[in-house]
Amino acid sequence: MTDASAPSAPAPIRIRPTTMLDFQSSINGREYRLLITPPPGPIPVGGWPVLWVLDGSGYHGTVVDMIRNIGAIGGEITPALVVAVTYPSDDLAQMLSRRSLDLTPTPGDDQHMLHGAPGHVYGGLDGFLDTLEADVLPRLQACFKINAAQMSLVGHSLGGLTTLYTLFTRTRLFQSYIAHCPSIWWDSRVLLTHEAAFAQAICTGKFAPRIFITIGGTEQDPPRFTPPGLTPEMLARGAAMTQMARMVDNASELFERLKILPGATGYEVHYACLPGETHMTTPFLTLGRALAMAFPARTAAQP
Amino acid sequence: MSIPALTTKPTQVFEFISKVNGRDYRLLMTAPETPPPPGGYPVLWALDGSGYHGLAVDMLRVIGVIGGECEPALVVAVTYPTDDINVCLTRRGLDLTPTVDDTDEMKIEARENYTSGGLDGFLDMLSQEALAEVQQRYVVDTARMALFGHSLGGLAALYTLFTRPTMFQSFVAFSPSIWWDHRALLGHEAAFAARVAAGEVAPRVLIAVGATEQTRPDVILPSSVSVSLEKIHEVLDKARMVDNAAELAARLQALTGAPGYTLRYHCPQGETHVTLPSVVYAKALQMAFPPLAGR
Repeated sequence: MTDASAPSAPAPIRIRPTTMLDFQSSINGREYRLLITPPPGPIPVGGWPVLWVLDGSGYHGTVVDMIRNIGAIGGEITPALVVAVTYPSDDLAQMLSRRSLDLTPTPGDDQHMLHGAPGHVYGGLDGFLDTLEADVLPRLQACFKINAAQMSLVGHSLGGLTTLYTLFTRTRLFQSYIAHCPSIWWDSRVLLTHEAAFAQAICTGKFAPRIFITIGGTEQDPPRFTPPGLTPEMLARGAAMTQMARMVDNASELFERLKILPGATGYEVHYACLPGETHMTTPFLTLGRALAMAFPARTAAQP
Repeated sequence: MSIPALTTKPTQVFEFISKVNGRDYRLLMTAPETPPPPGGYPVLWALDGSGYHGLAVDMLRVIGVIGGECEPALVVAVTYPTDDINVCLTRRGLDLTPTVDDTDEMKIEARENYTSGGLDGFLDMLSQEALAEVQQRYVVDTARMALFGHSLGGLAALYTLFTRPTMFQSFVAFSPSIWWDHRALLGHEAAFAARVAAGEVAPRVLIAVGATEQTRPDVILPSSVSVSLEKIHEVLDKARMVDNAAELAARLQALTGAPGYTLRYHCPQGETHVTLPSVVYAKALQMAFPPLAGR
């Protein structure tokens, strides 16, 4: 039927299947689902680079497709194994509620009520990161040949906040950090209380991570689109939120401070503010550039 | 919880041998979390389905279902019953090209047995067989269907636009291979332009190309190590990826069509042949499936 059976057909490049692993964390007692997909093509010496994806149910398919298209076929990035972290549920509302807990560093106050989501609990980020580090990583290393010295963390919105919090407080864990549209505003910018210690570690050359911060150019404008299911009261609160959140200003100011730090060789800070783009479109539009930073291509000259 | 429960729907896989062209296919079908609107789901048909199914489903969920910035749509990704990317690449060479070109003039890949010219049979399969399979499973609005393709798939999208402009409402051509077989595609342009000018058809069209796509590279990427840099330069010069796309978009933009006729063109700086689709995908979704409030 296909040309694959012909004698001169090229060697197969197999798409590897996705492993779905549901488990209860031995650290924080909460339930998680991992979607793990190694890229097509041969395993590099030293093991796969790894891309850890927060809000895994929303981005797993995208990153797997982009690594296939840009990496395995295009050769413009080094293909990486994807670990998407999500929850054993197919209900979006439940996932949104779970991420509220896992992706916020503090309980916060009432200012987080953007979607008017009563019942959400916040402040579980350290337990979540402990789970990734002490529970998930060993499982991953037991099942896949990975290179723990080439790992990247990508997150969007509260996941972007999480990425920056991890950068500041556990710099050793990942070599690169991709923060899409980060919620720096969270709990009166509590994130930034960790910035000075991080900056110190960069200036002394203790760490030299690569960082990419992205933001949609319209993110602190009045909304052009109305997400479904919002009441007028919630819309009014949303408008107040937009003012308070300073999404673009907070992101650009943090970038300006980080980029001037005199870090060791390898320390890189990238920033993209996309004109006309929104909180929802930006992560997809900047992912290609972020992957190029996280997993640069090996050219034919330097295999 | 003020947000209604939105349950992720499983992907349905259907494999079949086409009675129309005798070749085998795999369809990956994923409905949005939201219930179908009164007229049925709009449909995104994705060529090279094994490379774009996940991206299309994720973006429609995040931008559409959660963000409300486009209308959620059913995704039908068209691919092959194999997990070998090389088989997919060989098969697409046949399915996504309108004419036979078996010369080595534009060849920069070590791909043998590369047959071409099967696009009409592929489109017959889509309209006569695949659509019926989709309709057996989902309530779809056949008046609101979009065809998305990249590279040879972009060529296929434009060929479908020119020769079957009522088969879809929207046509999205990422980095289209207009150069194929001495631009054989353009032989169908005049007839299409006449139908647009007569108001007989009014499709929405998006053409996009990465600004670096005809820039000569100074290194060879691992994917092309079997050919010389000189050959790559020669092929790139002939392919005129940016010029061909820009010129076609300008001609189509100049047509005066009936209300609804839309021609959008994007040439983002710094983007390559393989990064381009992800950078323009959201704009294509917003053209093909505008947000409900904005319609």
